[in-house]
Amino acid sequence: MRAMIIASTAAYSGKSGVAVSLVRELQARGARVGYFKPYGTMPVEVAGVVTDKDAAYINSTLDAPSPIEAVCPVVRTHAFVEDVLAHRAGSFAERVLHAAEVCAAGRDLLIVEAPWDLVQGSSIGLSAPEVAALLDCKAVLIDRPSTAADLPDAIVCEGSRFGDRMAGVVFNCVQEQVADFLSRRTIPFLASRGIPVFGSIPFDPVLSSVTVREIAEALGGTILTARDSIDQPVETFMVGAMGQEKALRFFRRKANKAVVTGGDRSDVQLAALETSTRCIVLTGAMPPSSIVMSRAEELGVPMVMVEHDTLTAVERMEALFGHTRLHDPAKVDTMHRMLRESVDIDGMLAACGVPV
Amino acid sequence: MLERVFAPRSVAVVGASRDERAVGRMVLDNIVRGGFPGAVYPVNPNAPEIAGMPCYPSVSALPEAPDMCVIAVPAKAVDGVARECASRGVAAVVVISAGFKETGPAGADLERALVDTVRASSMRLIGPNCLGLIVPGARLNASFAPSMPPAGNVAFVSQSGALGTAFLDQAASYGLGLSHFVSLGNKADVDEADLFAAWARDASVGVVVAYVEAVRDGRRFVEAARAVSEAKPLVVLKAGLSDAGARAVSSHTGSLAGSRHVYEAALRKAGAIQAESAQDLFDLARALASQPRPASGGVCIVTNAGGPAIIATDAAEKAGMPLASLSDATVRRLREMLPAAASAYNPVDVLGDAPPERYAAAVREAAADPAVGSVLAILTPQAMTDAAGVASAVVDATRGRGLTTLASFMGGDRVAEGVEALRDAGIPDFPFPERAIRVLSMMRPSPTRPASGSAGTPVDGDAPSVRAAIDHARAAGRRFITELSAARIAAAYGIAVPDGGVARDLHEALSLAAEAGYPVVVKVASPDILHKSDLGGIVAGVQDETALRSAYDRVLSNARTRLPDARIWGVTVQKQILGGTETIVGVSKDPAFGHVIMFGLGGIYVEVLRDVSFRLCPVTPAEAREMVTAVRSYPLLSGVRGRAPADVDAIVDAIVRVSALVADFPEIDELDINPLIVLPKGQGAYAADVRIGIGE
Repeated sequence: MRAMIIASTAAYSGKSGVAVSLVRELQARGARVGYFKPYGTMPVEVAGVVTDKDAAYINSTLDAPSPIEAVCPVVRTHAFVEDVLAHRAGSFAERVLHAAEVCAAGRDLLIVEAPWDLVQGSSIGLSAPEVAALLDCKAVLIDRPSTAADLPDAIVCEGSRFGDRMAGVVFNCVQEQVADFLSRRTIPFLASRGIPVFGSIPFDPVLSSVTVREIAEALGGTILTARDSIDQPVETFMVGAMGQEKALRFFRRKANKAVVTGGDRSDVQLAALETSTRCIVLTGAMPPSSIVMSRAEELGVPMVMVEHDTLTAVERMEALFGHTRLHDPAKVDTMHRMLRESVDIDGMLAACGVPV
Repeated sequence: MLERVFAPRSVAVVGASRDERAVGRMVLDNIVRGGFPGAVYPVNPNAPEIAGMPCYPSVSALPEAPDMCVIAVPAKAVDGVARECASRGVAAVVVISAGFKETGPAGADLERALVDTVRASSMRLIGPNCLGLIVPGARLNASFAPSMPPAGNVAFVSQSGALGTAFLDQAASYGLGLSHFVSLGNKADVDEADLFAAWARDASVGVVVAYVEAVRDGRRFVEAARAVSEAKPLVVLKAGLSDAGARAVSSHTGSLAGSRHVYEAALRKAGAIQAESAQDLFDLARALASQPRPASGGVCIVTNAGGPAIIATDAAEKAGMPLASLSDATVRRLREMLPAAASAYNPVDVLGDAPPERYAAAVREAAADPAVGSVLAILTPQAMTDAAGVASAVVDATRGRGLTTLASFMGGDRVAEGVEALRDAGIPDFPFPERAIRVLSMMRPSPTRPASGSAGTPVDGDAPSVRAAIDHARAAGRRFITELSAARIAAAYGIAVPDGGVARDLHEALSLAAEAGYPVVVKVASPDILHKSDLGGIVAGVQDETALRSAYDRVLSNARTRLPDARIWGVTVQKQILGGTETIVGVSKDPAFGHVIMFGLGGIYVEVLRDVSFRLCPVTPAEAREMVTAVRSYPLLSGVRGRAPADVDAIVDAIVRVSALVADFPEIDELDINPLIVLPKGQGAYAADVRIGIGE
């Protein structure tokens, strides 16, 4: 079995995105690639089998999907947690090894997605370094650098945990202003510590976007206008509680956004409509003025009326934007393209002991 | 095209009804009752005759194509009628019916279809959702407003139908004559600018009065308004200039209300008189309908009592309206003809027992004095006062003088006859003198009429390098141009900037400071931090390397603590400009009126005192100078208490250059030079911090 692990220093660093792009890239090169996730934390039932939501999705994108029960052999559910804590669960190593072999059967390479940071899974012996040892393969560490200049402590620390199994690092979601700092300061420093960096994938607002439909679903909202536009991607959101003139200045700062405001704030809603706005979330279940709805309809901007107060709506939106998932083919295309453009894929594979 | 609307030869009323309370029927009755001399055609498929007139089943069935069609059928049926009108070659439709965009998306669809029909033809549309229009001179009342005002020279356009009816009713009771009244409703086609264009060249119109809630195409509005104000007085009441009022306008009209300073700048550019209240609007309409705008010179107050004259004098000073200083000859003659106890100085007090002749003599003398541009006749009812007699004396004494004459006959029944005589003679009377003074001061032409045309002053800017900088920022997906690049853009348009640059690290900061020379200013460089000084992102007066090291750490750590998500590029190191006064020049972009430029003195003067002036771009050097001298803190620049006068010419130049820059690059939707440091006269002004935001 030939495998490589995609691990990350923190949750939501883009492991799944890198994994799915790598699968796609290698399949395009004609390789037979498998996908495996030893420990999943988003339980979902597919064809009567409890598995992990992301793992099931990525498996479904394979040219030849593996049996669903093997893709993610250990899934964290409430019952599972209780079993583990009460020592009712047995050893997982064998189960994982067996499932990995099923997923790797007949493949040139198995891409293994680690738990969401390097700590998760430690209680059951399935943390990323332990999985790497179990499957005897190398790991690529995905790191989302902080926006302020900082020392790469997490990478160095995890590097020492992986030891020889650490192939190197890919920076993801790199903001424009830190790219220069990374390349001039951080990357040479890591190289001096024997940790190669295969590339820096820039931040892309499309990748972290959610659709108007997702927003409406997450907030339990009613769509009042422009139903045809609810699959438009929303890249960010802003809250409008100021006068019209300030609102206009403020709203011009961000493109393709959602604006959260009260249903009675016609001035804020119109200011939002003057700027690049993908949807308006109206809080407090207050319906907007008819004439403003006319304008929103005319401009094709959905208005979503929600029961929540503004604070709650904002909390829900923050949760939604922080945790976007790559279940949209357009996003996978973008991620794949950026991986190709920004990462030395051959160098990364070589470092993982995969013949290029 | 609108000329035909105002003088139609024939009118059809679609939706005329046998039910006398139906809107269509009210319009029909108003047309007939108003004595419209042309052909009138009721249209209704279900009635053979209405109000004794033969009724037609459809517009297509009419014996001729009417010039105007008033439509009062349910919204869903309006477009069908409009199509018929278009194919018959009707010149204009007036859609009274409601149920369009004001009711939501379904209504908006109906309105769009109606507009498409109108645009595909040469026909014009007034409304929908309006009261209609009235042209008293043509004896046309194509509205459901109950009263027909007397014919006169005031043209009134109102975005609110209800305010319109109130105004009309009041006009009738004051005997104020109208040339036109148009209620615009949703303004789907014809708007204020169309009416202004028509009224600017219509000799029957002496004054144009407008009530506006929101303007969509601000530039067009200003151009058309200018055409009016160059020919005759234009008075505009813009509602919704408070925050709460703006919200009301938004939910009522579906358009942003726009901010006060933008409208003030726009109306100034348009040469319009800005009414602050409905009372102003009405008072000014009355005054301008019969009186010329006051020529240069001050006001002369003629009164029979001291108190009201003092009140008027206070009001005049507060309004910046000078009291005429009467010539020695005038004073001498007044002394000769007035009793010894009277005052021959302005205010001229003819005493409580003044008979009409004494008023006549005093007003005649005042009117003959070249220092007098306007006269305010004040009267209080004393035991022997003959109000009617005084009224006719004032009328006679000012007739043919070309002076602006207003009156304030204070009281009730005892002055009623006088008030009536004044009204009949076209001298506006106000129950209190301060209201008369307010009107008089607002009637004055603005001291510097803005230059004709909208072109600014050309500036030999280096447009290609600005274009490159903007394109670069856009390609990087940035909404704000980096500080360094913004400074280069300013420099490309001839605005002086201090030496310096952006340092990505301490090492670069040290070498930049060495190049520029100490003392320097160190500022955090981040596109996300708008008010650097608020969060300790600026350290000034950095004298040497040690100070620079600590300043570097301080601005970065302050910025990171206060705004952890901000993108930080490094620090800007800049030569400190010493010995100047901080001012601000800013540009914002209004969705309706485009670029608006602002000037003020820095720090508390702008932030606390809101002491700023605004103009619509582009500005001429004269307008730019006006902006500088208009702020209350201007004396701080011109030199007070031993301060050296600042280089005002350099400020004017910077304003004109900024105006030219944004005119050349309309995609700039925000620009701030804060501070623009102005040195003493002859030494220039430096843009120490430039921020530029770009839109689509």
